[in-house]
Amino acid sequence: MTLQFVFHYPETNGSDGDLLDSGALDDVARAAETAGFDALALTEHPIPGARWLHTGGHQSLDPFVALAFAAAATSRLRLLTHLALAPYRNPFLLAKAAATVDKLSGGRMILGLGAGYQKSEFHALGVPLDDRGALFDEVLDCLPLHWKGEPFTYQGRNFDARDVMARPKPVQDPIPIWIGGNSKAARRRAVERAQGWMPMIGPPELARTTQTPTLANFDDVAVAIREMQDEAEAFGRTEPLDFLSSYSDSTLTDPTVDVERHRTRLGELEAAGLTWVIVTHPRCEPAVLLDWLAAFGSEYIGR
Amino acid sequence: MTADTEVYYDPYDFEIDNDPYPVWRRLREEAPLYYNGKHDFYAVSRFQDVEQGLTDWKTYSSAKGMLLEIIKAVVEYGVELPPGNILFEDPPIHDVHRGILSRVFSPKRMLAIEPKVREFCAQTLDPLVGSGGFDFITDLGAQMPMRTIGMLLGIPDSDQEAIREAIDASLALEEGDAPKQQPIDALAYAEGLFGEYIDWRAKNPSDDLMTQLLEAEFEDEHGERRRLTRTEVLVYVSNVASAGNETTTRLIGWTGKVLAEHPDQLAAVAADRDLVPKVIEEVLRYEAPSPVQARYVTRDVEWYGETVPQGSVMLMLNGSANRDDRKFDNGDSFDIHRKSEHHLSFGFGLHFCLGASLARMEGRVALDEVLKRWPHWEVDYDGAVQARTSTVRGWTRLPVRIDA
Repeated sequence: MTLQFVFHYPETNGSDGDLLDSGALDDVARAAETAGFDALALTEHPIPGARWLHTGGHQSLDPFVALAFAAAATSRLRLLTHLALAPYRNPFLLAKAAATVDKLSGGRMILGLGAGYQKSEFHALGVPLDDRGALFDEVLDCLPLHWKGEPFTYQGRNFDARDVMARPKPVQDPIPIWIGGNSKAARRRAVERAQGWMPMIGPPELARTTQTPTLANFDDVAVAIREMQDEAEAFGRTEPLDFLSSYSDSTLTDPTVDVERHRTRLGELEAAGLTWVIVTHPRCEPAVLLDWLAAFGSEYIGR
Repeated sequence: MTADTEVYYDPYDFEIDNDPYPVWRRLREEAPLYYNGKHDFYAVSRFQDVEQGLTDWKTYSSAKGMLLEIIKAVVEYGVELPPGNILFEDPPIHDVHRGILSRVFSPKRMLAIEPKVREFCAQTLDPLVGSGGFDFITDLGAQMPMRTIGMLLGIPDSDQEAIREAIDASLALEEGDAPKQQPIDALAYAEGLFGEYIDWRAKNPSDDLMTQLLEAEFEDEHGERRRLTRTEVLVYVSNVASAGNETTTRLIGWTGKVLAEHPDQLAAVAADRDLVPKVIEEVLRYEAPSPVQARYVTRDVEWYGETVPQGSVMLMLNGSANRDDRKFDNGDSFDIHRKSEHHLSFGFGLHFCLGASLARMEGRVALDEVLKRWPHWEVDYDGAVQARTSTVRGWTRLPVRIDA
């Protein structure tokens, strides 16, 4: 299995500028696919705190609506929520949104889910922050039931579904669920109830902001991956888990320099057990992004 | 349709250069690997082939130059290329030099001078309003890139015009023959242009790119941490200036010409100037200012069942690749509304144009400032003159009429 690449659409930080400054989403999706990327990713922040957005937070689209749009412009590219916040939605609405993208795209959806951390966003959405763990688990109960396409009854703590049924079924069985976050709970959910894990690597400050334990570097991640693979085996899993992490570096924006160093690094990440990496580019002119996507693909993807 | 005659392509034939696209189309369809016996070179012309060739620097080396006549001079006469010219280098030395320039020549820095560039355009164009016409090259395109690079480098305005004329003269071709190779005296030539300024700037540091180049520390190919030598700075600066001048001038000329030939699309962008960036991209694709890249072939390679022997010269026809129907629907048509796709006008791979952001910004600003003043123009072909160089294609004069 060779390393697969996700392109995260460039983020527009702050309230100035337009989210699509770097290019129309369909153009970018098409260019990413042509360049050899395996997936396109979008994040979710339906109603973030104003202070957070003003001070460098990022704008966002509804990822499901936008990924469906990107799907229509492409044919092979997988569509990843990186990540959607599981507690934010009613689990059946979330299941329906993901199933819709999967159906429309011919089975290309990957549902990246996190627990969320923004107090003001939880508050505005009417979701109690303290319940986020329990809500997350309920979501993971409901998704497979919904996606089966058969009548079911579910009685949870918050949601009570009696003899209900959802059609059409998604194309994939199941739609892969990848869990974000470094916590024990996130890792347990990934091993026992999902198909992949998306650790967040970075300094302790980042971990503090996003309320997740620190994974300082790829060595830490490699250790975690090995532990999770062992746990998965002990749990009786037969299907291998996917592991996605971001890869960023100051010279990655110029694919004409440092190419050997980055290739070596990417090789090390693969050796550490990662199956996917996610990369992005700073906000820029559309033409610059198209050139970058083509150049990145030619230097790093499929080698 | 069957071809009566075998297709012939010659980069030194002015007749072909006037409109190389029919020949390039035939190359793509009939001779995707082309060999020219007169000048002894091979050429590939399809998008995929050019893109792949430009990426494969191990097979297609730039170390002996990237113009046909320069590679010949180096191979046949043992001419030595000046050190530090990243266009004439392969890794690892290329990466060392490119790394320094890439740090200094950041897109952010280039975009930051946009307001100054606009101001220059306004000063240049305002006096021409109401005069019934202007020349896209002599009045705008010839001056703006030099001024822009000058702003980046911190060169005084008074020195700038002379520098540009000297560069233009050194690139001009005589009809029919391969030009006499020029790189022998490149260093002396650069010394004449920039020597005094470098010494002055070394004593008078500022916040410009030249100062940054003089002060940049880097690890060289022997692992030694050092600053650039005066000679290296000289070569860098003359590269940056000549590469950025000539090509951007041609981009501005092509913008004027191609839009005049497509009045409906000119009207569309005049009515909605948000389209300007898309127009510049399409002009770049449609009329690549630098449409031919030469490489030295370092090993026998197979193309379409034929062997290209080691030691050959391969021309990568990026200007042809940009018109390839396999990549761009109806590639020979100019369409500002086409789906955005990356083209090869700035090259591809490790020699991708360092100044692409600068060129795009200049093209955008030039067109936008022209459109602010004149929504429509027609080319006066009696006064128009094409430029003749073996690597840069465009106009040296492009007068246009403005109907009142």
